[in-house]
Amino acid sequence: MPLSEARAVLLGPVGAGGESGEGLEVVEADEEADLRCLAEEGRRAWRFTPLVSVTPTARPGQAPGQAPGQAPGQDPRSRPESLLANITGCSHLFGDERGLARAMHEEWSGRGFSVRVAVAGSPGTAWAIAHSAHWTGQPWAPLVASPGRDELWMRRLPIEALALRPSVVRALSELDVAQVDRLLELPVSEIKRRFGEETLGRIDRALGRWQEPLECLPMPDPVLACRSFDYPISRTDWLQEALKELVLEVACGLKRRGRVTWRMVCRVQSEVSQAEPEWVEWVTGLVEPSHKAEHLWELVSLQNERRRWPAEVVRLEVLAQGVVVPDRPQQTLFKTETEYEPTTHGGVLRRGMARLVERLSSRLGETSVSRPVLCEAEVPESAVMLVRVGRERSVERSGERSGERSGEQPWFGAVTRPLRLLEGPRPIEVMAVVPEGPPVRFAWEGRNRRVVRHWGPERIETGWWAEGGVARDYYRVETDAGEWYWLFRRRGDDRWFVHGVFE
Amino acid sequence: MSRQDTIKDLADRLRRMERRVARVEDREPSVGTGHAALDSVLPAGGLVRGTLLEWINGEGPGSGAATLALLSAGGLIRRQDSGPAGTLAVVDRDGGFYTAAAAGLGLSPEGILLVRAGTEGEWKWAMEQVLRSPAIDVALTWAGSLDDRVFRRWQLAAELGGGVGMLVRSSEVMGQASWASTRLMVRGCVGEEWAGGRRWRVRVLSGGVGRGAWRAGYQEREVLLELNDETGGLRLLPRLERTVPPGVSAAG
Repeated sequence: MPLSEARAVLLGPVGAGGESGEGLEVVEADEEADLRCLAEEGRRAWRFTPLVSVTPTARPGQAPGQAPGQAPGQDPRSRPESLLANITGCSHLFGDERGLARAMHEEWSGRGFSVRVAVAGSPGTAWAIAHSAHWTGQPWAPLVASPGRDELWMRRLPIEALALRPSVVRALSELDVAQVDRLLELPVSEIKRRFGEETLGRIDRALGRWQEPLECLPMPDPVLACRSFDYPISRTDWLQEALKELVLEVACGLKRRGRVTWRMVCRVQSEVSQAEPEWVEWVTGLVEPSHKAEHLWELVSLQNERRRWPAEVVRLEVLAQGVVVPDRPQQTLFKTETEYEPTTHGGVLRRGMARLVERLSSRLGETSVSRPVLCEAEVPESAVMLVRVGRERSVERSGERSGERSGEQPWFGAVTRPLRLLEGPRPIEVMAVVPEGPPVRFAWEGRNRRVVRHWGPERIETGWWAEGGVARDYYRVETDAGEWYWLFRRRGDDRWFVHGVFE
Repeated sequence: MSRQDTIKDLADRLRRMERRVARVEDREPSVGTGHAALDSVLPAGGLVRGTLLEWINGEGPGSGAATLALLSAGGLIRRQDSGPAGTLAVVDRDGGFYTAAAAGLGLSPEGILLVRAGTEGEWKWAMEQVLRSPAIDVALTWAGSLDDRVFRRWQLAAELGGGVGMLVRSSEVMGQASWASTRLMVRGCVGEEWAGGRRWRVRVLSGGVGRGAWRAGYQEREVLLELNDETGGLRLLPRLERTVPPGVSAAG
C-alpha cells in the first residue's frame, strides 16, 4: 500500500482533522531485515523440529517460491512472514500435533508476536490454512488438519487462501467463485485456458498435490572439543583435568556463537579389552539451556562422581547437543525479584529450581528427580506418573488423552490411602476368623500384629480385558500398637499382601 | 589444656551455637500450618523458616508421623491469596512415597518434587542440596540414625535456604543429640471409636536446639489430634490435653 493511501486510511480524509499526521509513525518496510529476523526466529523453531524453512519453497528448476508458470516475486508465499516446518516424528514429544501447535503458538505469542499456527499434510495447505484463519472465527487459535482431511479443509476456505494473483481473484469473484470448493468444480482445462498454468500450479501447491521441498536452515557446526592422548591414560585426576579443559573449550565455543546447549555429551574411548565397549558415553542434561562454563563443568563433574572412568583412555570428546539460540528475557527498567522464572518449555519454575534440579539430576541421575502427576487408574501402582521437571507442560497436553488428573483433588479421603506404597505388594501370613473376612492378625517384618480395627473391604478390580488386571479386596487396619497398614486379599487365590503403610 | 578447660570450651561453643540458632527462630516469624490445632501444638505457634523439625514415630513406621508432617507443611505449600504456591521436596531412599495419599491430605502434586537417592551418601547430599535451595519451602525425608555432623550441616543448610526441613524418624533416635528446633513424638490412639478419621497423641518433646537445650520455661506437653477423613481437617481435643512436668521426658 502506498504511504499516501495508508495515511488516508489511518488518519481520515484531508480536512477531517487528521492531516497533521500526529501520532502516526512511518517506518519504511525493510524486507531484508524482515528476512533476517525471520531466520533468527526459524532457529528458535529448532526446539520443535530440525527441519525449518524460512525461504519460500520451490520445485526443482524453479526459483524459490515460484509456482509453475509464475513470475518470481509475485507470489504471496514469497513474503518474508512465514516459517515452514516439517514436524514429522516430532509431535509425540509434545503429546500430539495439537500439543506441538500450541507450544509453537505460545513460543512466539509469549514474546509479543501475532502468530498463526496451522498443521497440515503439506506446506502449501498449512500456509493456506494459517493465512485464512480468520475464516474459522478463531484467527489466533492453532489449527490442525487431521491426516487425510487436507482437501476437506481447503474446500471450505476462500479462494484467497490459494495465494492466487489479485487479478485472478477479482475475475473469479465476478464469476461468483468465492470458495475453493466452487473453484475445484470448474474443469481443469477451463481454469488453465482462462487463468493460465500458474493458477493451476498454485491450486496444486495449496492442495499438496506435488511434493514441495523445504529449503531448511542449515544447522550450525557441532560445538565439539576433543583430545587424543599419545599413550593410554588411567589416572583419574589427569582425565578429570583434561575433561574440564574440554568442557571449558565447548563453553567458549557456545559463547562465541551466541548459543546455549541443552546437553553435554562426554565420550570416552578406551583400549582395555575387546570385551568392554570401546566407547563410553555420559550425557548431562540441563533443565534450562546454558553456555556458562562454570555451570556446565559443575554439572559434568557432579555426574562424574557416580561414574567410573574406564582404564586405558586414549581419547576424550565433549560435544554440546541441542544447541539453540538463548531466550532473551524482556528487559525491565527497574530490577524486580520475582518468585518465578519462565522456562524454555513455556512454563514457569520457582527461582533457583532449575539449578537445583540440574545439580540433583547430574549427581543422582535424570530419573531420580521428578514431578508426580496423578492419573485416572484403578490400580494404585498406576495412579501416579512421574515426569521430568520442566516437561510438565508437554505432559499436561498429552494428559488430555491419557487420563491425567492434574490439579484435581482425588476422590478418596484424607486417611484412606497410605503415604508409603511398597514397591510391590509383599505376601504376608494373615489370620482371619471367617473365610473372605477381615484380617485378625498378621505378621510383618518379623512381628506379629493384632488388628484392633479395620475398614473395608474396598474392592479394586480392573476389567478382564485389561492387561495385567487385578482383583483385590483392600482393608485399612489398625494394629494394637496404633499403626495403620493397607492390606489386601487377592481374589482368586485368597492370598494376603501388605501394600502400604500409613506413615 | 586441662580437662576442665576443655569442658568449659566445649560448653561455650555449644552455647554459642545454640544462641545462633535461637536467633534464627527469634528473627523469623512463624508461618501458620493451615491447621489451628497444629499451630497450637508447635512451640513457635507455627513453622519457622530456616529450622528443622523432627517427627518421631512412637511405635512402628505406621504411627502416622509423616502424615502429620505433611499436614503441617500445607501452610507453606498451598497457594495463599496474595502469594505463590510453595514447593515440597520429598527426599526418599526407596521411592515409596505415594503422592496420591499426599493429594488426599490436600497437597497439590504440582507443588511436590520427588528426589530418589540410591545410596546413603547420595541421600545425605541430596537432602543438604534441597535444604540449601531457596526454591524449596519444605524438605521431607525419613532419617534413621544420623551422624551429628550431617545433622548440623542440614541445619545450617536449612538456615541458608530459608526452608523448613522435616525429618520423620523412629523412636530409636530418642536420647540422641538433635539439631532440630522441635521434636514431636507421634503415637496412634488405639481402638478408640469415633465417626471417622484418625487420632494421634502428639507429645512435644523439645522446643530448643542441641542436647538439653530446652527453652527456659518451656513445658513438654501432650495433646490429642483428630484428622477427619472426609474434610481433611485437623482438630485438637482440648479436654484430653495434659501437661507433662519438665524432666520426665524420654528425650536425651
